[in-house]
Amino acid sequence: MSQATGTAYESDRYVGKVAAVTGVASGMGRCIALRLASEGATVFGMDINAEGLHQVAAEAAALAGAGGTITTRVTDIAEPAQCRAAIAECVDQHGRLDVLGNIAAVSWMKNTADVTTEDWRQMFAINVDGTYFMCQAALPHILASEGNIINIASNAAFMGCAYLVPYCATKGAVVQMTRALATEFVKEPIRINAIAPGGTDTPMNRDYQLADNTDYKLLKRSMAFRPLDKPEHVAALFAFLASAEAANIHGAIINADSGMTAT
Amino acid sequence: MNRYTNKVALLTGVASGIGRATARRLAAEGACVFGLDIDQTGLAETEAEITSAGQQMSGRVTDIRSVQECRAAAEACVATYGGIDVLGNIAGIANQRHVHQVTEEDWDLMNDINLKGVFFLTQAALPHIIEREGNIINIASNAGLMGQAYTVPYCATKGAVVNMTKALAMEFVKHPIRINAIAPGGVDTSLTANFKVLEDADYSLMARYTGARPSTQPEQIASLFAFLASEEAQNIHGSIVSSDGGLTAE
Ligand SMILES: NC(=O)c1ccc[n+]([C@@H]2O[C@H](COP(=O)([O-])OP(=O)(O)OC[C@H]3O[C@@H](n4cnc5c(N)ncnc54)[C@H](O)[C@@H]3O)[C@@H](O)[C@H]2O)c1
Ligand SMILES: NC(=O)c1ccc[n+]([C@@H]2O[C@H](COP(=O)([O-])OP(=O)(O)OC[C@H]3O[C@@H](n4cnc5c(N)ncnc54)[C@H](O)[C@@H]3O)[C@@H](O)[C@H]2O)c1
Repeated sequence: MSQATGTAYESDRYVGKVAAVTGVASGMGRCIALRLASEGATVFGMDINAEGLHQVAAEAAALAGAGGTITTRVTDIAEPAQCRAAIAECVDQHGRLDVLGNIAAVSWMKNTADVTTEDWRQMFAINVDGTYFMCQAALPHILASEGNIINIASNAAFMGCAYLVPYCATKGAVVQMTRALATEFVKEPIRINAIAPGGTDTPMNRDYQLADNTDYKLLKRSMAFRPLDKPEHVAALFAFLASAEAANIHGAIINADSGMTAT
Repeated sequence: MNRYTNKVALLTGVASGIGRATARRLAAEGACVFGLDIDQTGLAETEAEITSAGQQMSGRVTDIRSVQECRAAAEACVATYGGIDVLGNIAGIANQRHVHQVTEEDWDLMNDINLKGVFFLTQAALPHIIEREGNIINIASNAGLMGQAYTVPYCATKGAVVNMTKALAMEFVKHPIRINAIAPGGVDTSLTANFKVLEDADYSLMARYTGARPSTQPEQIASLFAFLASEEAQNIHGSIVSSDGGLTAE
């Protein structure tokens, strides 16, 4: 790798590496899968959306670049048994696992009074349980390859966002889960980090519907000064952070939010 | 890929450690490095090494404690290379003292280098950074994020660098520039090699800031710097990026 010799950035950082990535049918997950494949990775892409999985696999087949590929598996990460089955299938197919990217999540805005038990459990099942049980299933393989895990948190983990109470709670959980896992495995040669994006131009962000009778004054800090970020930039950070260039970064939560959480 | 072709990087502390590794890395990726340090010998070594490899660097002996020297250095960089795309505030000092041992001179020296120098070089460089739509990276420390026994003045300066970075990021959030900090953990440099642990230190207090992983090489911080200051990191602004092998996760 280039970091030892101080030579220029290369675009083949993932040749020979296997990356299991969730949420690849859309938004950031899709960009991350394509970016890693363009740098040579064998990507095992998971999502609940079969149609979107087809599309990203087709896009990958048309990629120039370092010869990576994307194979896909329809997976509902809210089911721990499916997380385990998906990781087992990835390792069966590709023989190893170097990088796990937990990208899939859901979000919506509601008044607290309108959040049902079912809403709450569903969001935790995807955003928190899905991330945790993917980590648990992947860890033996990540230990074997001396690989690393990246979880996608959110600026919402660091801000108290009105009408996003369950989402803030799930993303705070992802941050603390990342740090706790990092400490538990600090003596092993693996890395576990999180990226906390800000508002990013993806279907999740575009499809937000405001809660009934939203008080805009309460959204002040969520109104970013800079335009929405591009998911490609989250992918660029992911590709750096999961590479050997970032060998000293462990237990870090990297804010990539165009200044949202600086205040 | 050469992310720094046609880019000018003004870096402090390039005579040693993280600054030298960063100068090497950016120059290897095509940057023109305008390197500052108070240590003339080390500065000349870095410059000779980089230019003899056919890369671009110009060194200038500068004491960043002097506001006048900071301003003159920024102007000299612009005069030499035509502008400033990246400012790296890397120079810094650290030491251990009991609180009662800290003299006014100790306090002023650490503040003048680690904090005042960072602010006034930033102030001098900002108009040029704005002109080129560039970015600034300050080297903070894990000590800016944790309370660490026996390094109270150092922690104070690095905590100040952390929040200065965020405040600058907010003041310039409507400008197309980026301002971030890196918070390293233990790095093998002359700073750590010369670090004298107090003879009567309570090791149970020091254990709280001693990492479980071995200290890292300055090249690791340089590779993060090279990513963060590049166009790849366009959405990272006002961030404090830890690179500490898990030290601050606990
Ligand atoms: N877009 C933003 O503004 C923003 C900001 C901060 C953080 N994030 C986070 O970034 C990540 C990616 O979000 P995005 O913006 O790309 O959203 P997106 O909606 O475009 O993509 C999310 C993907 O997750 C998949 N998914 C949902 N439930 C699933 C399940 N049960 N099993 C498997 N896959 C499932 C969806 O099908 C979709 O393809 C998420 O963790 C999100 O919380 C997004
Ligand atoms: N080494 C570590 O473990 C560690 C950990 C966290 C943060 N840091 C920070 O990283 C930065 C670089 O430190 P390093 O470890 O490379 O140390 P180093 O001692 O190897 O290099 C520091 C450089 O700063 C220069 N310098 C000192 N005073 C100056 C002045 N008044 N004007 C101009 N230059 C001056 C020195 O001459 C030296 O070349 C510092 O800000 C330090 O606080 C270091």
